[in-house]
Amino acid sequence: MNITLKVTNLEVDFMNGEKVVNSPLRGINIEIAAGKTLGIVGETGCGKTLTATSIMGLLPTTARQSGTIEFADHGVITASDMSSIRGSEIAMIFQNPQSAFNPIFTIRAQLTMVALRRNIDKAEIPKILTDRLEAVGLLDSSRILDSYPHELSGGMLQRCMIAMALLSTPKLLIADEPTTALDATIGHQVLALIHSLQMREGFAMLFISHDVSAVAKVSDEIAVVYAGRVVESGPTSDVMSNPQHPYTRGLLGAIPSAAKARGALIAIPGSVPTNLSEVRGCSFVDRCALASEKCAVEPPLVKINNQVVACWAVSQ
Amino acid sequence: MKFLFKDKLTSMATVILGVFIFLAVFGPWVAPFPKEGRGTSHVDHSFIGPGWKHLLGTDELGRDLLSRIIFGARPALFIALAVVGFAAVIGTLLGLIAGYRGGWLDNVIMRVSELFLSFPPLLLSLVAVTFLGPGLINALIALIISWWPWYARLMRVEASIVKSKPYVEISAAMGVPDRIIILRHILRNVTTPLIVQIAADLGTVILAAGSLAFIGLGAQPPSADWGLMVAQGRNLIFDQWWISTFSGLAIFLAVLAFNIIGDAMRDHFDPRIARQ
Amino acid sequence: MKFLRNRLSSALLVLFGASLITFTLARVIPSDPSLAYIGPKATAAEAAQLKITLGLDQPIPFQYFKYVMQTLHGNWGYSLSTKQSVLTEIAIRLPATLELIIFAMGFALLFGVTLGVYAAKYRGRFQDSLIRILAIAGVSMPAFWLGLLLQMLFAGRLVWFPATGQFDIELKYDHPITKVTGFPLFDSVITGNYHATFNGLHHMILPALTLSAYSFGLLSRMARANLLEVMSQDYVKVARAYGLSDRLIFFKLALRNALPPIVTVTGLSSAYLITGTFFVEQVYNWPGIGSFAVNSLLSIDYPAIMGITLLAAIGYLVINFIVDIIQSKLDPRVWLK
Repeated sequence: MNITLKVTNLEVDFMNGEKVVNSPLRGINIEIAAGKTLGIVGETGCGKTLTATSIMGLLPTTARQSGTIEFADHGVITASDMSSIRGSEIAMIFQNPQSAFNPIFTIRAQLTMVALRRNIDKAEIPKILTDRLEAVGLLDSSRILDSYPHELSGGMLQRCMIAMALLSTPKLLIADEPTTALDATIGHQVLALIHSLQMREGFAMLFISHDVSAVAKVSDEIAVVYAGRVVESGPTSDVMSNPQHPYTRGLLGAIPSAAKARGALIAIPGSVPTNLSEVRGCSFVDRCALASEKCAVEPPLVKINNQVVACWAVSQ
Repeated sequence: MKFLFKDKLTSMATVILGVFIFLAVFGPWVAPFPKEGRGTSHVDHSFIGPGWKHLLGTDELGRDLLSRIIFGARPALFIALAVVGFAAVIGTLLGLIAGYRGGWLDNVIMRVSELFLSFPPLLLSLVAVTFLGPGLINALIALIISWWPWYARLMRVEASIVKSKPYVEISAAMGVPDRIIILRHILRNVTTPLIVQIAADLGTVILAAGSLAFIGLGAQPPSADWGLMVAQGRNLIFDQWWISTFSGLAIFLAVLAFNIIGDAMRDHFDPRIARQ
Repeated sequence: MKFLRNRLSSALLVLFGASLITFTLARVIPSDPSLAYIGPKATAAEAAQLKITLGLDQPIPFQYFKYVMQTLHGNWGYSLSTKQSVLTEIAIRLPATLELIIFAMGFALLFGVTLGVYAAKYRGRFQDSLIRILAIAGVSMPAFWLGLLLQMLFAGRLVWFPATGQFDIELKYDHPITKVTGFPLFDSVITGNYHATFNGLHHMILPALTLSAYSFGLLSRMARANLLEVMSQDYVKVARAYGLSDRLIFFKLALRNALPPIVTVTGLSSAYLITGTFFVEQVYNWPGIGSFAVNSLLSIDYPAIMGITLLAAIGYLVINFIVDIIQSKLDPRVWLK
């Protein structure tokens, strides 16, 4: 099986000189097969976006990264290797399309800059721009290309960003909360668009969101992240129907759906600990109904059927 | 208060400011030649260069320059505090009235302030002091005329924002006079930009007052005004360089200290624009 | 077009206001301008006669109205000290001051923006602190003091530059400048009189540097702060995620984005350049409007003072108008107003 991305034990510390100020990522393990989608889900602040940033090699200089990242046929790559791969083989779309585009350049100018970076032949660019915009559902392509970002709606801008990401087909697309800033209907459309494009072009996708239902719709596999660690992962259908980790169970219990609308929404009491560098043992222990003395030691990821879980209570 | 010493530069500025205030208050007792500082001349001692007896030399009338500069601290600080104080008070009053009353009064006051503000700043003061006549007090008045509009505009904006807030109506319904609510809330909102601006303005006023005096429209001889002293040494700059140099240095250091501290205040009170 | 109409009308209002303020100050505050004109030895009868001649016995609003009419017709009065038409005096002196201001602004922009960008790039390191100190020093220095210092150091001790004047006196005889536009330095270039050009530049440097100090301080701080803010924006992050090179991001994107506020500050700091000429021209004996202004103020030559005030207000308005136009070209969001 062709693995596009494999991240093993990714840890990130924020430093002040030699001192560790915070450890937002404490063990990320994910794997994406070619053409497949992995969804990363977790609450705000658990480190999902930081994972994407680390993979892209865009951490600030105050951050220290450890663990390995293997990408396609490049094998193990470092942040500096990433700078040549970024934008061409790996593309990323962001949460807030309004601020992701430069306000003083036209859409055409910005897409062109990216196209040139991808070594697309200058003469081909106009046609490719029009094609791509139409592929994302923007048929009025010439007007849109000549517009400035503030003249377009959020939904249109997000489609432009998708077009920008897919100017040439990347091996991996990282989508970081692409629908969060959009209205629900528009969000659904964009989600469907991304999904159909993936079917057509065959890129692997890392889909990040705090919205479990959105993630479930597009992902082949799901990884649940809590406090900087992957605590459960596996095929979407398995995780959704048979969640193992207490956190996952709580998360799924919190999904609004018609059936649950009659009962109360189950919120998970408590919140994520703030300074993760000081956490010893399982970080979920304060909010967990199944906590025991074993939880003073960090549980390892253990295979249960098709899933991988990090929890003492479940893994016996 | 700790931020006043947050780094070497700010600490240095705080020290300079402390010295400046100290000299303004205790100058006459600290100056080595107090009578000369006040203005007594010893023409036979004139134009002595910096040395042990006269650390900064003597001026064209034989007066010890160091003492003169020390005596100059008081008028400098006085004019800074007086101008900014009066301008702030007048501006605040006018601005509050304009914002609270609204209507034609608001319009008039605001048009006038905007008009004043669209002038190159020093120009208005120069013209005003020309027609008022030279002298420290007239310079004071002229500067106040230039400085009040900014405060008026700030207060007016705040007043009109707060005036329409719901809690004002609610409190009024409960019998608390809305004037008090408005005042209390405005003061809370406005304290930060006000303090920062005052700190910066103190420095700018010293600069402006010095400029007026240099031209001859500010303090008059035998006053120990720094700007005046720079002017008096102006034609002697090539040989008796110390007169203008050290007097101007005093102005520079005072303004520098205020500006640095103003910066530190802004960074401290409004982290949004903190550059770190 | 509506944009232009609005600007023009507010500009006119400002001009009226400026003249009104100056006029009011001149009339309302006690100081008798006619005395300056005829001298202190005049008799009471002569003074009274002069008052009638100058129209000072009329009611004030009427005087103002007359003044406005005259001004609009190009009659800006006659200087009480030189007895020449105020407009003539201004026209003779304006080119020298304009050249000085242009050079000063050029220095301020060149050094200010470059150092500001440099400081942003090396943020937190000692280059940044050094530039920050320079900038604060620039806005804290009295222009007249800086001028005197530079004069003493570079013209007195190290005789690298001339101390005063716009050109060497001998230049009038050896290499006279043929008048084409009236701007001496410019004319010397287009007539190929490079001796004069070099000489003029030599004289220009110290005054222009002195005048530029304040604006330099403002601009470098603004450039630095702005660039840092731009670099922290999302679209820069996105650009890097798309693999655009750091160089491209910095020079093409970030700088372009940081430009608008810099342009605005340039416009605002021109006010300081205008009033700064008063002091700099005094110190360097520069034959421009600044020194004329100071003389007029000291001799309470109020037609001249009115004229100069009006001129300063016009100049400031024009500069800011140009700034606004440049601004709208640079930032497409401005049109949305």
